[in-house]
Amino acid sequence: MKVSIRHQVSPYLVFFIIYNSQVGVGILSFQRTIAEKAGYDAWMGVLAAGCLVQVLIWVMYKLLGKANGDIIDVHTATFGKLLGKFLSLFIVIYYALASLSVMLEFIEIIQVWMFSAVPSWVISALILMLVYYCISGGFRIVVGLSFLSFIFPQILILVLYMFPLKIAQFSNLLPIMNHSFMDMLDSIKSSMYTIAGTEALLMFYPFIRNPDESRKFAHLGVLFTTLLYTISSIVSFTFYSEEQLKTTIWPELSLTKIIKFSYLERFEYLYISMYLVIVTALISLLLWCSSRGLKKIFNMKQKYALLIISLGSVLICQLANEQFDAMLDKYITQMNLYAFYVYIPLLLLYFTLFKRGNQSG
Amino acid sequence: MVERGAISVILIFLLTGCALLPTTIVNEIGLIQGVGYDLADEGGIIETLVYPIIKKEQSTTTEVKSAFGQSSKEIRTKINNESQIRLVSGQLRLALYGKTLAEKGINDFVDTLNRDPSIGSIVQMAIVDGESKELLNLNKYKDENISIYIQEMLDQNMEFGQLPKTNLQTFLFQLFQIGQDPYLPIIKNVNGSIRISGMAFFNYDQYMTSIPTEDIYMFKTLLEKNKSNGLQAFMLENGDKVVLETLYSNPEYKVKIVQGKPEFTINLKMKTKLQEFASSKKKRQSFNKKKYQKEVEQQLEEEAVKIITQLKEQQVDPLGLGAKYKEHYRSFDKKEWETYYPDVKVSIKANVEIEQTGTID
Repeated sequence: MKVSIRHQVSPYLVFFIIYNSQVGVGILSFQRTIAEKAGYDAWMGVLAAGCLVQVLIWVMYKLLGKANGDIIDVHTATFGKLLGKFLSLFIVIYYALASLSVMLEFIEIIQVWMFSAVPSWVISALILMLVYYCISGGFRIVVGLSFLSFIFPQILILVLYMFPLKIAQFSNLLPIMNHSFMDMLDSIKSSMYTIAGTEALLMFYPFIRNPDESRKFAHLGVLFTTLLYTISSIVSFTFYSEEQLKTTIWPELSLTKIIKFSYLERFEYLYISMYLVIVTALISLLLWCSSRGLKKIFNMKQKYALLIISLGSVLICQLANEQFDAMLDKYITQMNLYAFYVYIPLLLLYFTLFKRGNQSG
Repeated sequence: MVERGAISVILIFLLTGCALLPTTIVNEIGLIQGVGYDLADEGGIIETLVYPIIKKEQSTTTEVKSAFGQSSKEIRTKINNESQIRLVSGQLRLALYGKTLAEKGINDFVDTLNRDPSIGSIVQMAIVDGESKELLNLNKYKDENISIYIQEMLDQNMEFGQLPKTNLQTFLFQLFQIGQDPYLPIIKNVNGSIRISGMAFFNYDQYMTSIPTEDIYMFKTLLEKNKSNGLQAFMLENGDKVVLETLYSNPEYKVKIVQGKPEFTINLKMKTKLQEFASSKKKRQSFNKKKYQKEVEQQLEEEAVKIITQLKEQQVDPLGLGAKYKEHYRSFDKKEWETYYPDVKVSIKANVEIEQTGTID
């Protein structure tokens, strides 16, 4: 099933989609998690994780280019209809859970920082209505939103980083490389999940016009986000002392507390509200992926698949408690690591061998 | 059409949900702008709140209220019980701590400022030599907002005067930093006026010792790079009086490890401008730069040694010598450092350059 050119997007837009898929609410809190073991050397872990993501992009392009379709096509071609669809369902569920985790984290931020009395279902319903509206416009609208989510925040991020950098203590980063190899590995592992998201490529690959040409934009997108995350971690590391960072749940949001303009005292209101754009774009992309997957697997209308996931998300957001959040986070991190950094490369290996066997026979 | 109707019903439902948020109209809430904590004789604390009352077509008045209790937010509730408007803390600018309370530790009363997302990190903090309740109730400042007055006084002196920059963020940074202790300005009621009277040094969160106003200049010079540092008078041995304005000063810390123990050398570079010169001979003299530079250097060195000796004796490290040692020494151990600190060797070399002598020589 070839996607008609009417629904495809230009190759350079892949840059924005990749950026959108990687930047979510994680950027507000990852500084603390990566520094847990590796201390203030952890910014190097982010760079290393960025390199791994580059490799993943290469692997995914290789795999999807060979199959000339999305991951579901790859699965059915490799494992046959039943097993292939079962494996695809697993990936589709991953997308839905990832969007759920982003939503839960954003709701928590809104409740802690802005409106502590608003029930979760109101926020999730508001966001999902917007998301539903976007996705029903098709993939091109989702990409448009990705573009907006790139343009808006960059201006505010400049402002956000300028203030703490004025009083930054760069000597905090010294001495460099003072942690063991295992500690560094831990920081790479925790940065992996924060800068994850490029998996979405597995679903939207057929929607790119001239996929080969888009490859360099995908790599550029990952490079940009890697640098963004590295700078963000360095800003936090030079602003907080190490023990102070360990007590701060959202280091990047707490940075806003030192910003004061004569006409605006509470910068975080602006910043969190802007995050609604980012979160909506990210959730749109993830839910587009999972609803499209469901559509292909079960031959149902994408609209209904989306409705089911959305209603489920609202329900879970309302019912979720702290244990559920922690469990979800743990499982998604594991799933992300094994599904995309172990399974996909193995799949590429298998697929290459399998294909060759087919051709010779 | 039916669909559209259903959506509008949902929207109306959601909008009523938003009305659940409490209104914040400026003349219906009390914006707490200043807060003071004192130790009560009976064991608990006395908290004093300062908030303006904004009335339509009338000039704004300031309310100062105190109550006794065990914790900060408990007292907030008590004062709320006698206030006609709801008290909120989003505009807090000043937090004062009585000296007797500071001697016992102020961490409990800083924690609530740090925890509350609505309170910014640029809240000014100061120690009151005496009772903060008495200071905030001073008669002289009845007609203006005393918390804004004190905050601006401190701000102004930090920006252009002799005070080193402190606020909630720097306090927390130093509190958690390994190898550095916090410092805060001391203010005092002198015959009914508020005045900066020194610098307080802490060990973790406990007030340990202080230096008088005359020494703050030296402390700030040792602490960080400065562009403007106010004026400083030097009374030389032969009775000459020289007043210098700092144009630029930079303390460079060098750490050497001798026989396993750290040794510090501070190279203090200063560029100054002559503001006032009075010879003891009561006769107009042209200014001999070389001679006075040398004498000023000597005096600075003596003064710095005096302050550092006092800090070492009291076992407080506001200059962050421990942190600087940690930057250079990979197997830094906090306990070991604490045993070194009281007799660590610190030598100071001042290099003062009087660049300008004004319009006369």
